[in-house]
Amino acid sequence: MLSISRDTFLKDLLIWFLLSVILASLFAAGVSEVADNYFSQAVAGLMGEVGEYDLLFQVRTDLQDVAVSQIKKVIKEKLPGSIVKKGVNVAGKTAVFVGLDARYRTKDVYSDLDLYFQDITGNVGFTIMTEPRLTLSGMPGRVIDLFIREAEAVPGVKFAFKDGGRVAVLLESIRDRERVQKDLRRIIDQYEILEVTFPSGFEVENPVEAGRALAQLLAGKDGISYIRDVTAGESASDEQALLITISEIKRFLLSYAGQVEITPAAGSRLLEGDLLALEGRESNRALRAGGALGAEDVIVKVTSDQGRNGKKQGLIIQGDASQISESRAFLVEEKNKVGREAATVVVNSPKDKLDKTLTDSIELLQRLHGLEDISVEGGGVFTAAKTLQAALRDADQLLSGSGLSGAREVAEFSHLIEGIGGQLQTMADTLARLSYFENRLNDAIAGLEGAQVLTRLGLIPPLQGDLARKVQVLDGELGRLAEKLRVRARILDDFINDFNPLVQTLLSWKARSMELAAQVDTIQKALTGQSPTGNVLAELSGLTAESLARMEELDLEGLEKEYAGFITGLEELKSINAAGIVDELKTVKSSLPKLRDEEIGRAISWLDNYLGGETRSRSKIRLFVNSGYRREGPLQTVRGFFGSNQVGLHALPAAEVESDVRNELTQLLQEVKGVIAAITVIILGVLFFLLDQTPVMAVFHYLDLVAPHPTECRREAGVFHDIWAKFGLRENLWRRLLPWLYSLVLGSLWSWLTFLFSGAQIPYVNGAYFLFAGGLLGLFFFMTANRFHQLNLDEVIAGTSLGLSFTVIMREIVIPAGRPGLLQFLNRRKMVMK
Amino acid sequence: MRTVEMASDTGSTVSPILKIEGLKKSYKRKTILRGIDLSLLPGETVVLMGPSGCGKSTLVRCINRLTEPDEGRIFYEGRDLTRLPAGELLETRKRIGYVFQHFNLIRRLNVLDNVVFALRMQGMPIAEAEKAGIEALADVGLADRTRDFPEELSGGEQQRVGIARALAMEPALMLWDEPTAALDPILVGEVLEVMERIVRSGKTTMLIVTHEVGFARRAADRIILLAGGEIVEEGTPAEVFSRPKSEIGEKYKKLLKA
Repeated sequence: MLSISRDTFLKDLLIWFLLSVILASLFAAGVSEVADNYFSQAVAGLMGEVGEYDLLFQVRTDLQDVAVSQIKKVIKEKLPGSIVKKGVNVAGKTAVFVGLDARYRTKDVYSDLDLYFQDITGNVGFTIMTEPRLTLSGMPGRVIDLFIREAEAVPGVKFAFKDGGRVAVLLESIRDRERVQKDLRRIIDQYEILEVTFPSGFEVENPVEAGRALAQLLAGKDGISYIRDVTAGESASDEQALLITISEIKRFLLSYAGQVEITPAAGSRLLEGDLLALEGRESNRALRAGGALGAEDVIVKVTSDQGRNGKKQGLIIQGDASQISESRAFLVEEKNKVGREAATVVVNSPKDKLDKTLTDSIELLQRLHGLEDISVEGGGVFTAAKTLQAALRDADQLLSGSGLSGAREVAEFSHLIEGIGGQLQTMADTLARLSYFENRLNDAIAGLEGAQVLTRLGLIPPLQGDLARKVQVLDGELGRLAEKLRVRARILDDFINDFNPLVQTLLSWKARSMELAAQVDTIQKALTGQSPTGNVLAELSGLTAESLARMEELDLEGLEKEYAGFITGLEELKSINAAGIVDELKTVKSSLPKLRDEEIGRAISWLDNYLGGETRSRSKIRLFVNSGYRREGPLQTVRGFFGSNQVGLHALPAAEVESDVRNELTQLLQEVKGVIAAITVIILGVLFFLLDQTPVMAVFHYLDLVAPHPTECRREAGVFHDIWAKFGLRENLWRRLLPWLYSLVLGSLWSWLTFLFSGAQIPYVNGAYFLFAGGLLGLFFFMTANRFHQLNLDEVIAGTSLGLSFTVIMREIVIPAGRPGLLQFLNRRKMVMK
Repeated sequence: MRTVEMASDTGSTVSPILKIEGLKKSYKRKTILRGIDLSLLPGETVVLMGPSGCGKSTLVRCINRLTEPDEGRIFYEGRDLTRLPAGELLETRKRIGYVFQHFNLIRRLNVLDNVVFALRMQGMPIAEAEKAGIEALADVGLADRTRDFPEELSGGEQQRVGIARALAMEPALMLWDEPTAALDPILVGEVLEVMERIVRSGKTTMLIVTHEVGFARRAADRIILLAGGEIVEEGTPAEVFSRPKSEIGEKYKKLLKA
């Protein structure tokens, strides 16, 4: 400190240090301020004054005149009073500014702006730049409306609207900005996004479904009172939506495609990716090993080992399941050659089943009105039954009365039997027709249930809009119709079952009676005038009485009543809009993809390729929840849900608050200003060190010469010697380190202080980095000082030999011989030999 | 502080102005000086001779500590220079003139300023310093070149400015480090002439490192021959050049005859 207070070169250095830091800081700050002013004015020129413009169009420069005139036309029609100004041309685009008349700065207008300006020729897009404004960004697309509602409830907010994937919040006044910003942050803090992440290799088949299920599972637990699955609605990203859609299409196609179960032949080993050939129905030659593969043959690709008992799964990549004529499969070798027989296959084609089921259902429903004939048919059965009953009574009377004593009685009996035979045939035929109806009813029920299952399982492709709603309605209608038909079929079944045994009895009676009557006729012809034998007549009489008794047992009146109820029920069926249902089923059928299995297979391969690297990014599940829940609970639930402890759960901010474009630009300019200041500091640092410090540092390489000291062994006494000795340091070491320390500390402090005072700023780089970088700069200049400053050592030695002090040598010899700089300028005041 | 005394030719005890004991110096692994013992009496002119690289210049530089010795002691006017703190060393250096082989003039200063530079730094008033400077320049025959700059002078003239710069300090001891080695033969004469004149004036004690045998024979009170970092022979010019005891002395004798 003594040397500093004295007029020494050390004091000169200190003054230089302070002055250089001040000058460099001022200069750097000045340069950055000038740049800031320049850019600010440029921004004002580009964007107008605060609040002057509301919309910024980017139009193709070659079409700017057309675009501007169309914009003006729209304004004249829809937004009269608004102004248009053409801006600068950059990279083939021209900026066109629109300042809306104050009365159009409303939510309705802003919501319709897209519609107003949708047909502007050459318009690349437009940005809403109304001020004062804040923007909420980063929230999932599905909760944008929530944030709009909440933002609009904040005092000072004029209104909020959806601006792309963000929420634009327009303020009443610029003065409200800070307060509204705080309030918006408070709203954002009320929510969080929980992101479920999966370890490498963990795949979620359908993240969208999993997200929904997880949201239901977490709702109401561990303080989660609000939860929405936002997996699919992330930032309303088109790409994400596309991925999800493609994934769903793949899932549908997989369930729709022909599923081939492959059983490898004994000794045959099939690998994933192997191709198998099956003979096609339309192929004109049989497949054989060594032969060529035909275009009509079906080719199956082995896709997985997931089959049971060594069986594998396959996908048809050429031809269609319907074309397969036999189950033997041959390996496909190079150059489309047919290899050895390698497997047998079983093909299950949901596509064909679905088509058949729908076809059957449609056909049956179209015939539903034919059931009306059942009432007529049923009536015929009852008539026939009554006729039969009367004929049997007559026959019984004939047999139990005079008997078949004469030819006339026998002829009368035979005539009765023929009549009964005719009625019996009619009745049997009617019952057969009823049975057919019953079977068709049961088929219809099965078909309707099948169609219903298809709609429920989603085998019918995901339908959109009105068609989807119709499918839902159809599902309900199918259910109701099936149930009603089921009841009718059961009644009909009972009816037929009631009559069938009787018909059988009567048929056997008729056959036996005909036989016995023939015997009676033969006897009478042989023994003219004689009565038939007692045995034959007794059997005939017994059979007739028995059949009559069975007939009497049948409660025809009761059956008739029950059947009347059935008929009424059939009438009710008419109330069902079967034709409507048929139309809907036809629509569903026509909406099914008209794809062959090979097309499905190729599509799946293509989708796999596309989805390949994308599945990782989409296998994230995102849930939008209220904040303040118990942190550990959801994690355990999520891990339990996926059955893995490797599954992670990360809480992310629900959204971010951004300033308006101008504010962002202002912030950007502030950063630019800071960076310019920092660059200036660095340049000045290099200049100052190059001009002023390199001579000093060059001399420091000869410290022993210009500042001699007795060697340690000769030293008699010395304060510093004792101090350094206490720390175990040799003074020689200290003297050797001194120049390095000087350079390091000077560089660090100079850079840091100048950085601090100049307002310099580099994103992600704080003052500590400048401390570090400055130190390195100092060391660099010390190490290379002799390259930047050619020290005239002869002059220094001369000064030393003349007994000049270090200060004098520096002031009179070294510094004047250096480059012009601040130190040299300051030094002139101290020089004796000017 | 220890003082040193020695007997003079007259038998009276005279303290040597410079006494060197056991001086050693190495550069890295190469030993330059291997324990030099040497004394100079006030007013004595001693010429150091020896082959190149024998350590002559190093010895001279160690005396005013332009080069730090490794071991040994250097007594100047009875004080051990190797133990002096920096401030006292600077004061001592002012009384030891030094003439360099390469003149070592300060280029930005003119001739007079180069000569008065040290005086001015000591605080001497300009006029007084310039008067002393002009006198010193007159002694070396350059009184008319005071405003010239070094690059305007010939080598011999520059060296004479260097001599004047040393003389202006009125040193008690002058160290000459091969003052003519960097001069072409034509210019050597003018410098030697000045040197001889100064020697004859007897104003100062001189230790001269030179290869000029003739000058040594004419001007030296004593000649010391150095070889391999050691003093190999010492004596009057007549002793050394007429009856040399060392190999190097024989060589100089032959050189003188030639």
